[in-house]
Amino acid sequence: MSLAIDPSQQISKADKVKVDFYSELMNNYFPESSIEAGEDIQSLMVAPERPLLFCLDKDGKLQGILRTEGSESGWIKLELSTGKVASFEIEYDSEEESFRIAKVEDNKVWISREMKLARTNFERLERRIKWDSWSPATAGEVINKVSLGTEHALYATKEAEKDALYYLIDLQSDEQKPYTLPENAVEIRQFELGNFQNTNGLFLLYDMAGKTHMLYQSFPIPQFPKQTTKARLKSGEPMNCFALLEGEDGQDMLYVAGEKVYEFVGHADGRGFHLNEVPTVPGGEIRKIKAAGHGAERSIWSLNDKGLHYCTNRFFNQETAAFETGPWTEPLVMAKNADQFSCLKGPNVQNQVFSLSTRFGSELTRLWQDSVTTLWNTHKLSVHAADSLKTVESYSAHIRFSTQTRLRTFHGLKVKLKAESNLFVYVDSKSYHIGPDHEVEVELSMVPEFTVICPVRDIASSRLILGADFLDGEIAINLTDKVLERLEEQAPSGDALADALLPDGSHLVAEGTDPKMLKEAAKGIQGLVSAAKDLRSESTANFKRTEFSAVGGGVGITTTAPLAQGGHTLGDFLHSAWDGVKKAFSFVIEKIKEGFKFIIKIGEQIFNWIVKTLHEIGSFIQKVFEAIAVAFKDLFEFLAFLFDWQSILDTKDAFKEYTNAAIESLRDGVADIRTFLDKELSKAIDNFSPELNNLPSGISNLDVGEGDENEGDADPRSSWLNSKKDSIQNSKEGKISTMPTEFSDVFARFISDAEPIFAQLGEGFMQQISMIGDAFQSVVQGKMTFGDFLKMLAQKLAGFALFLVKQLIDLLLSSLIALIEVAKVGLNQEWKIPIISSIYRDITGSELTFLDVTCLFIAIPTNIMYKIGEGEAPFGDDKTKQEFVKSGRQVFQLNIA
Amino acid sequence: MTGNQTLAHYDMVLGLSQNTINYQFHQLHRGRVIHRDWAVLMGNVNNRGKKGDPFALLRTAENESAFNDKIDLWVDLQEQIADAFEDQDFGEIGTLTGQLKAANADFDLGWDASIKAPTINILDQNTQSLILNIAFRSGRLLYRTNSLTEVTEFDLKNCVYAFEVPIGKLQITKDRMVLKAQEEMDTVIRESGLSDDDFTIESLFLNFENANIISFDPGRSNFPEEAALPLQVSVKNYFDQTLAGSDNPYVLGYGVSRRKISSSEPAMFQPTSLNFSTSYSSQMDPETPVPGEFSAFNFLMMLNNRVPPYDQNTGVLPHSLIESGKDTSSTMDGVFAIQKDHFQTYIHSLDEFVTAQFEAQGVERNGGFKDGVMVGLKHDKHKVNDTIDSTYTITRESIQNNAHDSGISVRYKIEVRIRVGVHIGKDWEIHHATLSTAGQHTKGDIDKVGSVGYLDFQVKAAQEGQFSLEHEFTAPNIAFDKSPNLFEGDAGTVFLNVMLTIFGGVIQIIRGIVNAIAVDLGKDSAIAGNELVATLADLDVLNQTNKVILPLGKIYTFKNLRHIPDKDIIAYDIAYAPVMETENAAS
Repeated sequence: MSLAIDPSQQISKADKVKVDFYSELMNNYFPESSIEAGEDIQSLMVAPERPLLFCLDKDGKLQGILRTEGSESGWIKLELSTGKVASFEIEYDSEEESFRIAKVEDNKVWISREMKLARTNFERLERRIKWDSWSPATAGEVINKVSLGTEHALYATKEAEKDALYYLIDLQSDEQKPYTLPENAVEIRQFELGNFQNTNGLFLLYDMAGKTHMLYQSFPIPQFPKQTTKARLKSGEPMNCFALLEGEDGQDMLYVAGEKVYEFVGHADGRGFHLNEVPTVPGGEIRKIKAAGHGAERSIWSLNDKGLHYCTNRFFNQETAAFETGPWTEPLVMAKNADQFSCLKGPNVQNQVFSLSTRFGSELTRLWQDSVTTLWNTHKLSVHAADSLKTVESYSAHIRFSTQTRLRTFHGLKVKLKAESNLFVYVDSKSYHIGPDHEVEVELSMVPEFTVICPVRDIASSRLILGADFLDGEIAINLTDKVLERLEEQAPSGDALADALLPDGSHLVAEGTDPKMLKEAAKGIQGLVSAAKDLRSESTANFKRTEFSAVGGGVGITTTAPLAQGGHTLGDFLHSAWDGVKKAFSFVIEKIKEGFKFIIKIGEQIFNWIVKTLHEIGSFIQKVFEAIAVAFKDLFEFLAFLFDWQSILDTKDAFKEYTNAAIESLRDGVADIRTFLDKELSKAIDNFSPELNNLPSGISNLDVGEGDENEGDADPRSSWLNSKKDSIQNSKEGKISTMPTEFSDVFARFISDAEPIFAQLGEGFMQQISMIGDAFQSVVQGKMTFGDFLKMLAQKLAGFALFLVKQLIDLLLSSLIALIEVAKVGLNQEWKIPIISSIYRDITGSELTFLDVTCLFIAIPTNIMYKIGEGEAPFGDDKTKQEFVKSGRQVFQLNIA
Repeated sequence: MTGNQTLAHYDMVLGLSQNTINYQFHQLHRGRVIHRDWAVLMGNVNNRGKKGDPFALLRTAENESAFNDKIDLWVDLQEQIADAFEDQDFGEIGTLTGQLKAANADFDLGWDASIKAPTINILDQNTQSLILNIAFRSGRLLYRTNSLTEVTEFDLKNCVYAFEVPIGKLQITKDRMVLKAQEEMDTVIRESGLSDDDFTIESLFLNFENANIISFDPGRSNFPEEAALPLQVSVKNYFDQTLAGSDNPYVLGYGVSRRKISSSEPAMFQPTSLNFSTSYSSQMDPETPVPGEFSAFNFLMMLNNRVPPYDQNTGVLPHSLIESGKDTSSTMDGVFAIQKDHFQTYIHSLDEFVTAQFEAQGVERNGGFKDGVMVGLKHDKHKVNDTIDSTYTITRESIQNNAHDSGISVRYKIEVRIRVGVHIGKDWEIHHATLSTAGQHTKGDIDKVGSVGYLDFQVKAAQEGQFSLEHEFTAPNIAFDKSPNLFEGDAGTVFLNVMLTIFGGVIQIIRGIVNAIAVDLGKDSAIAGNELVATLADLDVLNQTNKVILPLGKIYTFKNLRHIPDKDIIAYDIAYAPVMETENAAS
């Protein structure tokens, strides 16, 4: 695709490029499937901003999910086992910057050789990985768990009626040695290599007599080959899982979780410990716990029925607006319904987790906190899947460049795209991470436009920043403009909120909600919207000090836990799930120099935060809606642009019938051409040229290479399907096979029949043929209608005819006729193409044909723009449609005789 | 061999590996629980009594630099004094001695050394003593023969100071363990019984420290010949004078504090006295031979305030118990054994448990188990006058190790016999029939021939001295002893109906027992050790799973409960694995 373009032929600053953009909140669809992950997930940052996730798929096989910028979903899947994996673990060696994977497959332990992060080709990990395997001493032992350290690996076995054992593998010598437990343990639940009481050993959690017990056991040292240090550790409550964190003195700190989480801080002489309770959100047994540390800072992630919680000793003191290391923050629910999670390991990684929920289909989310703004970023993961369709609520921005000077091209020029806060976006169907420090270069093609789709979970989003050498400066694109405008219009007052209806006719706000409450909410929303306007325009023109409260009527904000003195940052507050005890809240927003000061009162607690970005304001608006019990799903329906599929389909059908009629007429036309050529060839062979023939007007001027330059303004709604064309091009099946076989057969036969003739004709002819191929791709990609393609084909073939021997003409014409013969059948046959077939099936319930696709490409923008312009759909009345279809019949009527 | 012989007349013995003790000392030393540095200066120990009381200066973290200066000053002045003495300059000697006294530096000896981890050796042919070795990593001994000589310095590097510790003379008394002369037999048992603390390595170490005062063993020590005498004098004085009566009662002077172990529940087998002995073993694991790995330090225990045996062979076990270990890997640290006769206490409690289950179902205990058999009776009436008399015969059949020697299986056989009498009026029995687990005749709903039932328990060691008790129930089947078809006609039909009703009742009882067992096994309950038998008798339903059976559960883990028939003991593999206590709870 990237042909070298002469820079002098490219657009520059001198061309005064105009940038049109438009952002809309709407649904989008991607050929993706959710990641089906089983029991456990683990993750590793293999390169800057490139996480690799390991999990078991629904068949229990080990898979890797690798972040790949610019791929379809942004994530590619790697298969790391052929069979079911009982347990696995990833170990990252921070000194060597290397990693290993251990898995239990086929009742053997497999451990990969050490791989350096910097030297590993992760896309090819499946093939590059080298495994060594170990088996337990006796056949009856079943391996149930594996754990990895940098120098050793461990695996546990169990056997009916016998005690659990564990094996220590020395990764240097590859030797393994079995170890017993000091008690008649049935099964080892969890074990981790660690340090305790100045020894190296392992912490074990095992089942015995119906209870779970925690033990530390060291490995023998050379002076004492038969002795070990053992200590039983008790928190006084049932224990379910644990996590280790290397302390600053090299000894491990232990976090043990049952219904509560306890931190074991060893006494200096190693013979006792102090037990600190780490705050948790009550919600039954904690199923998994992870601890992360950075110097004296520690974070605890734990999972129970209430979801995934987070708690840190990086305590934000609101009075001093500074962090303190010491007290634990109150825990916040970071992901509701989470079933599994993994804290990301790797160089320079802090506070990043993946959370998996299977309650409503498998959903894998990446969650990380910006260390500066404290804002939490979320990103749902999915993998590319041609036969699957995923609906994504998103801001979609269509961006188009244009200039008055048409002599030069945008082709090959690059546009840099970044964002004010971290976003995972799709740029023309490819996934990228953009943010203040993350930039993506978009290469423009002949058609200088692209679509950015930014999936969202609330109405907040930050600005996109565009830069290019041909632009004078950076251009900011507010994704939320349209939505804020709509909010301003549609929620000006409490009454308006009370009356607001969703497209299905139901109320946005539950009927009976206290009018006083709605009045306050509307006041708050308007205040926030005007604050947003000011942030956007960097003025203070719109904003007036706003004060509002959501009280009365029993409807108020609901928070998880006492938040005040909870040590939370603004980011924590905005991200946390607000459920639990209902409490009234009120806001005061004041303009200050650095931005806006938000004073929030929840119950008796007062919070102060300084807000600087649109993203934050959007999040606050979302919170106001949450306070009046409006979920994002409803808010989305209320504010988003929804496609009127019925009229789009009507338009498409009109185009489809028109094309079918046109093909009919072309058949007659070709017959005429053939008759003409047969009769006149011998005498006119020397002076035939297309101009002498009454081919339909415009055919001669048809330029296949360039797209239609005559577009309207940028609009993600009309270019909606365009943004999906890449899915077709990039589909793995290859280009030509996406063509219905009827057509490809004709081409294939033509090529094989024509081969001996081509041999005589040389290069020029081949080029023409390849142009025909390209033109057909244009049809496939919706850049050209099928009608136009046929016109072009006729012209090329006819033009050639005069310079060729008669047998070739016969061949060409018979091929053309054959093509037309099959056209009607082929065009109306079902055509399975990625994403679009699925969307179509979702919308219409029927299967997509080749003709449907090409017509849809035209119908969607036509319909939407027509409706926006004319206020009604085209082909609203049947008569107009009939006339349009009829006109198709005249398209190819030749007048040669 | 009887259990009494195996355990040398003690009720229970815990044999802890010599190498484990050494390893634990090593760890205490490594973790600086045992202090590594010894430094002291002592005065008035030569010609004691003439010039005043002995005094000492110990180096501490606070006085370290002053202490070191003082050594230098002493050595320097002493050298000058020696020179002056050589010159016979008594005026100078007077001045210098005055300076020495003024500086409080008039010492006779001192040392400044760093020690290696202490070790013990268990001796062959001597079950009553062991050798405690204090080896010096580095350091020096400073000594003046008299006040006019210069200070002689000996390099202590690689020197070993060996003590013979007469552990056979150690006994637990009311307050703490002290050395007792053999003739003093007034063993005072602590009112609270022995605590788990008494079985920690720290306690052991403290005991050894106490024991070594008089037992320096020059034969096993390693010193340069010329240093031996001054060192002996130093040590003796150090122990005799410096520390005796001080706040720190331990002769080696190192404040090993005892591990804080919260007392566990009194166990069923709570020891009431504690003595010590050793068992030397030359045995070694052929694959990974380590000398001394089977040599044991024995904790000898008696139950129920029984007086410990005392004779020539007290505590002399025929073999080190560790030789009977099942798991001899690095995980384990020794073996704990109880005479099988005493273990019967537990079996009796299990009998009582089974009895109680039947009793709860209305079966009269009829004296409970006698010689492993209980015959329980139940009398019921049907429709006022019909009698139903059931006999439940429960026989404890066997006590044997499970397939992997990791637990003990106990089987109770259940036989049932029912006599049914159909009456007209109170006294006129018109028919009777018997059904039993031996019955071979079926009819109607009674469609299976009789078979005995079984209640199988598997007893395993569980957490902190508790046992886990898994049970399996094989329901008995009851059928007619004679063909019920003999009863024909109306009377027969009536009778059969009565039978069926009754049979339903039996099923209820059996089901009830099964359910009750399942429920009870999940409950918490505890019993006091000292009033064991009485408590057992009083308990309606004895919970067997959450009660502490074995002592020392906070210090040692127990596993592989097994019967060793030829030694007549019940043995366990043990590991030294103290329960780490939180400081929060302790405070």
